[in-house]
Amino acid sequence: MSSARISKLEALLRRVEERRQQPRLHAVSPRESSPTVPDLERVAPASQRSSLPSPAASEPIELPTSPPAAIEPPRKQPSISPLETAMAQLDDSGPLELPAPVVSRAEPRAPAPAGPDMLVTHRPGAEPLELEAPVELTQPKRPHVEREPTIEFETAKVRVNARELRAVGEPMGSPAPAGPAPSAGSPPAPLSAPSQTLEAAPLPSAAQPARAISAARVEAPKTFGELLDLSLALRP
Amino acid sequence: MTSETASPPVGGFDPGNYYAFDLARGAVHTRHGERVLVLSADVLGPLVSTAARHGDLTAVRGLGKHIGDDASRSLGGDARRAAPEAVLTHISGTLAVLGWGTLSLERWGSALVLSLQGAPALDAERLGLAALLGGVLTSVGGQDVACVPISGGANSARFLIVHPGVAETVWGWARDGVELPAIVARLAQEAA
Repeated sequence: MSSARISKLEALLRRVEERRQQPRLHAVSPRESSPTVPDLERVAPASQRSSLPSPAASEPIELPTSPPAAIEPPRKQPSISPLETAMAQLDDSGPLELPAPVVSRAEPRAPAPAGPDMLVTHRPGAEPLELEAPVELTQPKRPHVEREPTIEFETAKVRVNARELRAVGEPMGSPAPAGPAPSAGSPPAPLSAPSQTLEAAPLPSAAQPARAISAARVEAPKTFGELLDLSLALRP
Repeated sequence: MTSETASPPVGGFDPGNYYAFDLARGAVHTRHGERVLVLSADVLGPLVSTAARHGDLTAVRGLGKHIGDDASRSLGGDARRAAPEAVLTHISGTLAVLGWGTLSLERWGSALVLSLQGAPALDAERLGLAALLGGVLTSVGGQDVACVPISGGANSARFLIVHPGVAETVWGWARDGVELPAIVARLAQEAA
């Protein structure tokens, strides 16, 4: 077995261990015997629940020694009705009622050693476990999580921000326009008209702009004859 | 013996083979077939001064017209419709080949000013050069043009291009010490 495959299996086993320690909301089917159709959402039938060993009777995981078969990624099932059904039944009362599982059997293989119930997408050479005892899974009560505010807004800051926001629409040096003042924390109302119009002071009548001489610089290029005529046209 | 020069720029003045020295006949001709004399500037100067003192610079003005004709032939087209830079290039090249210095054109508002550098000193008031340039522009421009000496140093001189009818007035301002900008401003103000 290649080291990559061994590491993969080890990762899977770690996941299983982690899930084992978490509260179980639903039961899944025993290990799939088919190496190509692992299904995490299939649940074990009622007749097979008895064969499911309890987590307490788990045995240490033994790595397979036989040559592995081709590993295929788990197929996603389009419908997750068992899970949805189980989730829909989540409440604080009573145990979960699991729907009838769907179990598919592959070609018979050599019996695998009994092991803990675990969410394994694939175990080479594995066969579905026989449930030995019914498993009643009870969903623990949902912890009532009181969301504590992670951010505390200081009222003073909000007021300051509101005052600042109000100042945006106010004209400079003039009383505030009539209208409802925005409350603290609420965005300022859009302005429909300029709050202030500044006009430039009128120019004095005595001031005359400088004589424009740039026209000669931007004029179109003239011919020699045109330039000569202009010079000859200068007469006192 | 002919003068050998480098190839001129495209569209520029070509001084190549301008003179043709026919030593067998002891004659010098331009490439246009005109016979020319190679004279010392020190000899020509006094002749021009005398003519200026007598108020008759017609010969000098005639010489300028010949130079203008030569420049127009070198330009190869109507100088009035050509760009000022092209006209100036051929006039300046012709004057340079003939030994009259280098010419540049300045524009002072609507007034045109010719600046001649390295020209021989014909007379103290530069009336000879003014007549020469007047003849050149008359030939090139197709109308009577007068050039009035305004200012200048030891090796340069400025000439204002004016109508012949106001040449005396402008010459009087210049002799009174009025600077070129003021003269141009006077002409522009009175014309406005």
